[in-house]
Amino acid sequence: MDYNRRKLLKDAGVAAIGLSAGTSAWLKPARAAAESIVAVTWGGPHVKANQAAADDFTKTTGIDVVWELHEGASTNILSKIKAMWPTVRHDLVQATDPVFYSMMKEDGWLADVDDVEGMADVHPKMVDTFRDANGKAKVVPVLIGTTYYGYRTDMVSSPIRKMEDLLDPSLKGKIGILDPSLYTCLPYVAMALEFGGSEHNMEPGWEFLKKLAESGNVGQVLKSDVDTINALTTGSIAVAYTGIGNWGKISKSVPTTLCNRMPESKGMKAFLFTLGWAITNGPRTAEAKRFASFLLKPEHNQQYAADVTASPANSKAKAAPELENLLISTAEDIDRYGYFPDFPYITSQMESWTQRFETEIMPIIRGR
Amino acid sequence: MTRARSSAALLLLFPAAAVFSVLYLSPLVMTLRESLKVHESGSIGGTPGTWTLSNYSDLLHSAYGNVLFDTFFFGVVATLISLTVSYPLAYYINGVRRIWIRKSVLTLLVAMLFSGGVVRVYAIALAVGPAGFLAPLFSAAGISPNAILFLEISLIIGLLNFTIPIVTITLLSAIKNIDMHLEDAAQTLGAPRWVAFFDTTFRLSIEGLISASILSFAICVSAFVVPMILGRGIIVFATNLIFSRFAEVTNHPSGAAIAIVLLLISVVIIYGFLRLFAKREQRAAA
Repeated sequence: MDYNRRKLLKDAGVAAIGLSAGTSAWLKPARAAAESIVAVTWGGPHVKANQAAADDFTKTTGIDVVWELHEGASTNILSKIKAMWPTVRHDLVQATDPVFYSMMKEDGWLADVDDVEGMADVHPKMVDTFRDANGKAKVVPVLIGTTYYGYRTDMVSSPIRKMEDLLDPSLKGKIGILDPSLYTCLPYVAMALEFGGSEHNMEPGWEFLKKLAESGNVGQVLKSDVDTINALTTGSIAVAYTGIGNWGKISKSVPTTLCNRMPESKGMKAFLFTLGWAITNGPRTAEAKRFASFLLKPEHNQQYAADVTASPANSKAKAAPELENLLISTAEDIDRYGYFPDFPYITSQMESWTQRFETEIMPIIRGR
Repeated sequence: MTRARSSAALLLLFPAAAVFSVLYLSPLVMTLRESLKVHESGSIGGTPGTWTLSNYSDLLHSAYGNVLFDTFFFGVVATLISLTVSYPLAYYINGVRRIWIRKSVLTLLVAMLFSGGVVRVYAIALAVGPAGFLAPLFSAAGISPNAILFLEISLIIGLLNFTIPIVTITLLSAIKNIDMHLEDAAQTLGAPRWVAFFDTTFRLSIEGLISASILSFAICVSAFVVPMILGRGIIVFATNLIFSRFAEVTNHPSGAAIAIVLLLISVVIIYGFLRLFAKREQRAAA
């Protein structure tokens, strides 16, 4: 083949242009095509259960739903959105109260959702929790989530009925406590409640947590739900605090006692929170709202709640009867055992609580 | 001519310098800038237009000193063990006459580098866990699975899993360049075997040992998955704290400050180590 210098330069030039075009396309932030929207949810049963609504949505509208999964705590998504803003990649974000309050604090991030079809069927209290200063709703609630203490019945010699039982010497190294970022210090709010405090007065909670750390009963500081499930099912720990969906999974593998109906305890309550969808202001907001209305449809909401072990937010959807033991959903149960934490206040305190945990509790657990 | 050569050399340096400044220096400057911003609880990242040194002064608390101590302490311990284990291994691989043995050991080491880090760490966690095959060894040694010592040993095992292949391969390339006949010559002149080894091969491989130490130390200090899984949240490295600040509590300024402090301490340690070696070389040359 006759290959001279001019031809070589020409070919190299063409290759360089092609390469730079390819590279620049690669360097651009990955954006969903116009006919698709990006929704962020959790892995496991959440993404599987949401897929049914997505299939229905795609069939009806021709718009695809591209899933992106939370990595660890759902707060992770905040840094990702912040890094790209005002470029909008994530059209819908599924999360819980603290994440929504942080998003609402950011100017212009969230779209108003009052006009999402089906919002009228959600309990007004759940919707009103997420209204901005102008009275606009910012979150589409889909579930009432619950978190509480529980333990492996086969690894605990005497039943745990109140907080002080956690100091029992037979529980040495068997308790997993949560990193402050996981469930926003709710297990420590529970400790405060037990000894006369609350999220607004955490001192009794910190005092008890110090005692617990000094007792040597803490065997692990759990950083994620996966950590909790693994630690409990493998027997690394016997006692932990986690969400209702995780207790559902754990109790299928190992004998479990749930501390969600503890009449003797003032703190071992079922902490209730909202699990919902926030819609970002961006080029695909209208499509995202439409998808949110599919997620709220009674048939999808009911199935989703059953699959992830929770109570549906849509009043036309029913909670699965077989989950009765895990759920705190009747008015009587909620009054007696439920607790609605003041999440806006908790979110504002997370910084100092995290620092307190790191500087006062961790050194005791680490033995320094 | 000399000037033309140096211009050409500068030109050759340009691509590396460009890549280095785009991919390393500019993010570093951004990190430094972020570390000086004020963070408001509940907000995401630093507040634009603000500046403070409190993200650094907060780190003066002994609890954060403990985290940095753990990071560097386990880095030093794992590096020393790696060198102790890897040197004889590299020496053996270099001297072994059967090629298939050399190839097999090398393949195994390289394969370890290619297998997923998370998988390896979880495998160790399961092996030392309550139902793991290493659990009886710990019990026999009187170490409870709930003891801090148990976590410390598991963590070091995890770090060694990453450092030993790298250190062995680095040392092998250093030992390979040494003429093994020098040892024979020393022995012929009457030196005992161990003296012959330390005065020839070991002395000539010190540069390789230093490179391997720096690599191993850097791997340990920047380890994230190993302390995250095997430290059980009780032994925390600076990297875990940085991740928590950025991803979990969205306090980017604090995370950035920890990252800058970690970088500065690492640079000082490595620089001090190299200076010490350079002085030793100068003394030897004199």
